[in-house]
Amino acid sequence: MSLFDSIKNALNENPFSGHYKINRMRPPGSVDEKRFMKLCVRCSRCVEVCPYDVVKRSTKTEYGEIGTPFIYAEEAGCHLCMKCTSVCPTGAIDPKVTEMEQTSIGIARINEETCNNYIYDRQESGEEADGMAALCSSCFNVCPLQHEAIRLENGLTPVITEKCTGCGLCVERCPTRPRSISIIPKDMPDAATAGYYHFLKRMGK
Amino acid sequence: MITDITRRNFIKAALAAGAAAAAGIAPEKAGAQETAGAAVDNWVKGVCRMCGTGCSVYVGVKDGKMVAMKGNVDSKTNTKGFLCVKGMNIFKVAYHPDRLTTPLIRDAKGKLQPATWDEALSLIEKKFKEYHKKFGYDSVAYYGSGQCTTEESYTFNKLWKGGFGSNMVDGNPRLCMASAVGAYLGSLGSDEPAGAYEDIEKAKCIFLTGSNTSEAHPILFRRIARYKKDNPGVKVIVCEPRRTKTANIADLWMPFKPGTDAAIFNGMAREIIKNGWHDKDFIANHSRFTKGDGSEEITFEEYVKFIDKYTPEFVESVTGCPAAHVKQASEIFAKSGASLSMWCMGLNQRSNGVFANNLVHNLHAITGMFGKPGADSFSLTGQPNACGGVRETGSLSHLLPGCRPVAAEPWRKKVEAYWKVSENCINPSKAINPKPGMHAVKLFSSLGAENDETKPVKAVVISTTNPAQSLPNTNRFIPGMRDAFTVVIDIFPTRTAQLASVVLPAAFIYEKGGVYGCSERRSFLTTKAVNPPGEAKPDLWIACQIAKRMGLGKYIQWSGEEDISKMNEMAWNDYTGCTANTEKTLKGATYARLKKSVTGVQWPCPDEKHPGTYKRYVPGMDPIFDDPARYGYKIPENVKRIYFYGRPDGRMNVFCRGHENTSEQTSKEYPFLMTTGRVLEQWHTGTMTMRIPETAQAHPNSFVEIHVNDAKKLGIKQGDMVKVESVRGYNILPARVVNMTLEGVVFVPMHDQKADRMVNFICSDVIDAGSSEPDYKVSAVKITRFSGPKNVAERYVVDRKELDNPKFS
Amino acid sequence: MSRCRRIIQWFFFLLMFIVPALNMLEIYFIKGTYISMDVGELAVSDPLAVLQAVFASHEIKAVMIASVTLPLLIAVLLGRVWCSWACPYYLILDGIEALRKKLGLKPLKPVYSESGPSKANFFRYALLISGFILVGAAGVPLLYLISPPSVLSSQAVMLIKHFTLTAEFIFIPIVLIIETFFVYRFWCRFFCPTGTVLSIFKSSKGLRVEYSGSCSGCSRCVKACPMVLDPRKDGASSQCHNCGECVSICPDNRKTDTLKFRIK
Repeated sequence: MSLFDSIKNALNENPFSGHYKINRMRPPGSVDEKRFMKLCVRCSRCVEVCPYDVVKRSTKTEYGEIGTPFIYAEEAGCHLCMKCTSVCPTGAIDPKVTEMEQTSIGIARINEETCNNYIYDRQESGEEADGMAALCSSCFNVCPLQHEAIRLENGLTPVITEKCTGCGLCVERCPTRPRSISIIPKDMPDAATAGYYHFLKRMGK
Repeated sequence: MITDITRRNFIKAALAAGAAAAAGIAPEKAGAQETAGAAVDNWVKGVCRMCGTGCSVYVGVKDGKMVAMKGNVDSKTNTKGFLCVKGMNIFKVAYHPDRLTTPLIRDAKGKLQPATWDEALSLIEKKFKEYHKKFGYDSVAYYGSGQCTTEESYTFNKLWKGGFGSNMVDGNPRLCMASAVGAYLGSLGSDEPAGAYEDIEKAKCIFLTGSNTSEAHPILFRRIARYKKDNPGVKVIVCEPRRTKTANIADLWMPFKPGTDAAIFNGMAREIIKNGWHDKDFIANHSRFTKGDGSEEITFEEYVKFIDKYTPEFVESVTGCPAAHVKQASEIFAKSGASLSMWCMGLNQRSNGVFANNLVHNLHAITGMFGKPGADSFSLTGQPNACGGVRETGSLSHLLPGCRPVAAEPWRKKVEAYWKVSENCINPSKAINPKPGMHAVKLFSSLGAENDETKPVKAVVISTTNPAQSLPNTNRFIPGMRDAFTVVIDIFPTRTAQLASVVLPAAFIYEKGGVYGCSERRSFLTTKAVNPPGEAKPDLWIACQIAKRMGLGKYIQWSGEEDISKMNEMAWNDYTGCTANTEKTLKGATYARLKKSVTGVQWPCPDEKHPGTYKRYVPGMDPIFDDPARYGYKIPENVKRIYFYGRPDGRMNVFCRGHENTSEQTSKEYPFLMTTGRVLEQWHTGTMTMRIPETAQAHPNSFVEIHVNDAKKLGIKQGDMVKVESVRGYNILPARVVNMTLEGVVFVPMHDQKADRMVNFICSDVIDAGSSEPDYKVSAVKITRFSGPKNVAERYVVDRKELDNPKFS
Repeated sequence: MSRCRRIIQWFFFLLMFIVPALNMLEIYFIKGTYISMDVGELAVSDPLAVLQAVFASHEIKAVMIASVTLPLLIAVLLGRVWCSWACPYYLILDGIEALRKKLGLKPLKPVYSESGPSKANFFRYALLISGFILVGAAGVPLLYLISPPSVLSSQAVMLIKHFTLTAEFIFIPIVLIIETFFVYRFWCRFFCPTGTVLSIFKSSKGLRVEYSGSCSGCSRCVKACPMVLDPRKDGASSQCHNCGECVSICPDNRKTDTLKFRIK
């Protein structure tokens, strides 16, 4: 890595810069973002208990989120083992959520422009073939709720259903670059509901 | 209470937000591939080497480096140039930092030290000569692969069988296709399918059994699925223990307990005949009913009596497949008008593999589903060149070029004369040995150290395959490979290289070129696109160097050449000359023609003007009928419909094969049946695909699929680490709790290289009595919860450092 | 007594690293950090953390009350023993003090002044109250950022599990540098929100240092007190965290009970 790249990365990845808004979820069973930010005491217990090491502590300062747990789907998705729900001392992660089907931390969204199987389907259905269509189905294969949260239309094009928990495993495994599937985390893109920013808003700023 | 807003509102909001977010991140169409495509100097024609479909591709070369890949839109195999994610990224393999670039010799301390080619080859020469003298010519063996090019397999085969007078030549197709070979020879009289992929788009009923086509042959699966979607009248029947993606498109899924499907096929035959759906003309004129090994002919009535006990209810009691499904499948199959069966390892890798294959052929014989468009009994291959390179060149211990038995004297004499064995052979016998050599499992169990008197095989050359990971019950074979003089030719460090005495760095397919022949008898030429890195050399060059040093330089005429393309061409011409007068003739597929062709050529193709053959055994389509005498066949004048010229009477055999299950059975201690298989993103032992970042990430480790009810009983939750143990060995794998397998059946993919996830430590090494193919598909195991979830997504590969470690980790 | 205290301090210091390590070995009998911990079926939480969550979210859950019961009971009965007998940060400060002594550096400890304790109390309670107001207004439990045991313990998890530290750790070296070179134990005395919350619950009937009324007046106890108190006067002060240094150093104790722990 060149010096320029190092400087660029250091600047871009410093703890005071903004967070990415997609592919970044709360642990499974988390209450809605607004309450989560209030209840989470940053004790790291969910980080500690995660057997896959996918729950990470945030280092970003935006909206006072530092120290709160996040799952970064592009690095590693959540396997929904539900170990973290029972350890939260304040109920920021709801201890009543014990089955993966109850979880809802986001929803996956497929970029049909870049998804391998959608390109394949378009060329199969008559669009001019250019030899660039590559079949995969990795998102379907890895989904813990196969056929329920994701199904393959005509055995080819993946379709996300309402049962998607937003675990992010499909994002982790997607072989295209950039990823053709991403998790829209619950509430997260809506900055208005998070942290002290919300307070300032209430004060009319 | 999970959320304040309702689930539906949230999804709506999320999708709206998602669209906005996506606008910010949406990349250019088709991603990096296309941009790379624009910057390519030239596209070089080739073929994908990651399954038996034989997808034809173009490799994009820029500044002497491969930078992109695209499908060949004119292709007849991967129509419209479709590829899967493996094929699209295959070129990345060549530039992985683990590539072997110098020969390595294991020193006295057990460390592999870099050496020059001369040192490595001299050592091989010394050892081979010593062993030939001390232990006889059969003490040195060759173990090839369905991934070697035809030229390479043919050269090694010629070197061993004619040059050394030894039949100690076998290959990994023994582990995948041998049963299909046995059954094609037994039932039809000549190896390889009669039809082609284009039968898919002509069939009215497609019967998939013993094949998870969607994962193992994804491009063919799409052909089937798309055809079915466009023609809803077409019926697809899937006969498989797991409800796979393949089964999801099927009209009828016939589940059964692994190892019992023979009863289903017999049950279908009974149902068809009982209802009078059989083809009386075909049975009368083109079938021969037989018992046992095929020598004793019986009448149709006797056959009907034999299968009479296979009532649907009896089948259900044996297999677990609902009786109604058997009835329904029989009706669809027999009345469709054109039924196409396709199968793969689910039938071949079985202790009764040949029998299971025979029984599928039987179904086609009694319904007359042969010789018409869309009707065929088609065995899919797993490797890109198992058909072309190994079956057709006869690179198995019991075969000669043309896929004819080495024991058959007339053909052996012909090959001897063609090769001029009597002049060149270094073996004092001056002839090809009429006795077949050892098959893979026997070869590796007979492999051992110099001073081990119980082990007759002392040295082996292993090319382009990884038996230390791919043989069943691997533990049994590891010491032999470690103790013997093992030469491994490969592009990457593998489990086998870890045991090798000499490791030779090979060239990747696009760095050498050569011909691959796929499942549908189609030969396709890969042109050399780039130079191999470092001192890596093509296998063909290595074969020639060994030949020269063993005093056979004149015998392998192309060993004098230095240019690999010229060597390939000479070897190809020698091979096509050798089989010119067999039904496998590719005499018309000259290098010049193959270079020009964008579709490849299907044999029989006797001369350059012949377009190649879509359907065999059918007068007017198969060129053998034009001049049967040339190929040594006698065909009567007035043949109607079809004539199986490989059989002396021109009728195909219908065998009486029972449903005796010779596979490993469950017991109180080992109550589960384990079956193994592929996933789309990985291939074989993962040597290549685990090194492609995209595919490695998509499937970074093996797992075990357990039915949800079994998991509940055993207290296993999704993700728990589970110990899967047979009498032979164990694996520790993360559990995937699913409802798509049958209860009592577990499934493990086979690609992981990590020692405690190498599934072949568990697999049964029972072999088929007819084909000597091991039974990978049925092993009795016990399942216990080992620990809670662990992160094992490590994409483990054996690296260069690991080669000095004598233990697997 | 002081050796006994040291052993317990080390035990808690190491536990911080051992618990996540045990978790990785799938031993879940004890799990959590010093913000919240489960021992068997017993849930224990830092009262500060729970109070913040209550203030920020305006909701009280049974699990919150249950988990602070034990810590508060200990605070009522034994005072702020957490600070001196368990807090990992306190152990580090003890270490720094010993190091300074070894290096022969001048002691930083200020001279005792009568008004000192009440000024310190006023300051830290005011800070805590304003902190809680901020937490309530912002809706984010921010005080964990300035509670050394919380930061240390959660960072220990990061270190053991992910082999990284996150940004909030920077607080620890900054405070330590000030403590080492400039102001004596200023964080524990004036700032620490965890200690302050525990102080609130210290009862005058609970464990405390009691002075018999007369002594030889050597003032060694004043010199020994890490919180800059006069144990003879401030034995029951909410600032005293019952470390027992004064009790073990008092020479008069050998003859009669002069400076002793007392409960009830």
